Amino acid sequence: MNCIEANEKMAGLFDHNVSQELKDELFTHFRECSDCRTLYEEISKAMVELKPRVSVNAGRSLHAGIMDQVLKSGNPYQARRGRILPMLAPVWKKVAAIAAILVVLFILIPVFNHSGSFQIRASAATTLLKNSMHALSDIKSMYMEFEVRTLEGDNFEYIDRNSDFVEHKIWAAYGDTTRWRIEKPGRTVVMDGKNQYLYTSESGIAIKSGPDAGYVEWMKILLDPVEILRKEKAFASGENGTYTISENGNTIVLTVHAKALGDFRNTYALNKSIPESNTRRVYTFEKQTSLLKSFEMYIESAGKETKILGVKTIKYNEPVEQAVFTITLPAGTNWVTAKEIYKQAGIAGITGEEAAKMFFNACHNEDWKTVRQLVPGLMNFIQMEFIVKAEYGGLTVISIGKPFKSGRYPGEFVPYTIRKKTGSIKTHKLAVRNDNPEKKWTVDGGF
Amino acid sequence: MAEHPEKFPQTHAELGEFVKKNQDRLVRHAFFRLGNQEEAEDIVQDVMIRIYQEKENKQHIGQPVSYAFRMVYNACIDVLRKKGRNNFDQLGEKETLAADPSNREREIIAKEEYVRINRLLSSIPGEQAEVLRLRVIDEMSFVEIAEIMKVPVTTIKSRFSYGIIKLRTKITNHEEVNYELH
Repeated sequence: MNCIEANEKMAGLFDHNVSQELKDELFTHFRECSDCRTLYEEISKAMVELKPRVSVNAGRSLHAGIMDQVLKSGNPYQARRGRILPMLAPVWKKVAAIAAILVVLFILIPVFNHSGSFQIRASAATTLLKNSMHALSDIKSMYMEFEVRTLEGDNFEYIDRNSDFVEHKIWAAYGDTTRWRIEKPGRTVVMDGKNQYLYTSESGIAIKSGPDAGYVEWMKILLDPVEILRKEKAFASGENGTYTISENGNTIVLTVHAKALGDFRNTYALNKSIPESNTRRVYTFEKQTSLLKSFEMYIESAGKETKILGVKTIKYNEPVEQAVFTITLPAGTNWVTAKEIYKQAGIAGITGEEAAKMFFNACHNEDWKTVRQLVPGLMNFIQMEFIVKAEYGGLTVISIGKPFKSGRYPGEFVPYTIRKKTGSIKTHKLAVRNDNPEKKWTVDGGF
Repeated sequence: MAEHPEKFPQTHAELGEFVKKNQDRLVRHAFFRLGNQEEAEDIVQDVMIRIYQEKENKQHIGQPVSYAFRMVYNACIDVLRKKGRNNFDQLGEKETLAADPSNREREIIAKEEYVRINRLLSSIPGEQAEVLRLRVIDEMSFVEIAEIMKVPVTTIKSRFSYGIIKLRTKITNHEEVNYELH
């Protein structure tokens, strides 16, 4: 290929579904021609530069507004619309998403470390485990699409029974080092074999961490489907649940009844994440290969089941492009290490309740230096700081209640009611924690 | 769109699904043309209602999403023409901002992005800017863009190449580019 041909074909690299053949052809030329390579790099930069750095979506009431208008007989234009038109996605959702990622920086979920009794049909389990060993060596890659009732951009294990399903995707490539990517709208985590990278698009948060970071939380089990049986068996073998395995034609079905983990003397955190819910998890494996074919999860609450997760597609051993395991950040956004974020965060020598009061007082006084010290990441991510300032600057505290613990959260929840500068009243629970060697309190959610 | 042919919505439920699936993309498309969320949503609402009203006559249309994009695009052009507002720099007008102060600040950020992006696009020929807009902001494939603009895919690719190279020169030279969010 010469430079003229390369220039003619280069646009194809910036289309959807680029063929491997075209990529091979052009990148071979780029290796030999620095001019064309530079052009390609500069075009890539221009694409990033042109991309909006904010997310603009339809307001929450648009769908209902359209459907109401359509339902009205006669002239659908008869009534002028009176919709609330938020400029961007709801701020609380954003702030929750930002705060929620800070939680996961601390938590590595000790889910699969119990032993005890369980129900099992031995022959099916033996077959499955034996075949898993073969599957482990045969499987080179996996692609999975699934849907979860949750919020876009929020933690991967966060669930909300009242939310719509949100699409999720996983790519994994197995070998000497396992690489994977899991994404849903607004949130992506990539493991490139050495490090994990978390990027949330709405808030512009980009964190680089070590290979064992807990960014994908419970979903980690889906990254390695041939290990599911072993892990779930270990989990359900204790007081945490039970499991059964049954054969059905060419499939083997693993059903796990998992109990909500944590302290629920106060039920605030119950059913807010997968581990903190009573769930029924149904995995279907192909008998011959032991490969996972489908997976569904239901929350069990008050004698009623609600489906919260369902796998739509699983494909094995299809080529995965290298680019899948990298995240290209928009111009102006840079990776920040988790260590950097927590370097100066937190205040020691106080109680959780005092930390909460200090946070609200600092917001009231617009003392952003103190707020930055209490909220890790605020000084690192400009968009996140902007949202907090806009939402909470100048607030007035109406009441602050007594702290309590709930679920698996290692810190405390502090009930509060505030009046924002806009006049709106907000009642919620601030999540504060000090589970670090210096016992410094930080605010990482619930605002 | 082109890769996944869809049916033109014929029932209330089908329209509901269609709106749910496409409203964000269509509103974003309109917003980055007009710089005004309310106008963008009004246009998308009107387009969806028209789509439903025309459902019986449009059953033959195999790409309703492209059709909706084209309608939103045309409606945006009409709005800009009527207002004589083809200059995005006029967007600082106070009356377009929300009354709620917290919303106002967020609107300012989005509008600054609108201005920044349109300023970049205004530096290259219109047809090329159009392809870049649909490819980069609306994340459409070249085939989808060709369908909306009713020109061959090769023309779209060529417009993209010329446009992005001009844009890259502009960015490299740092002409009139404002990188700051606020």
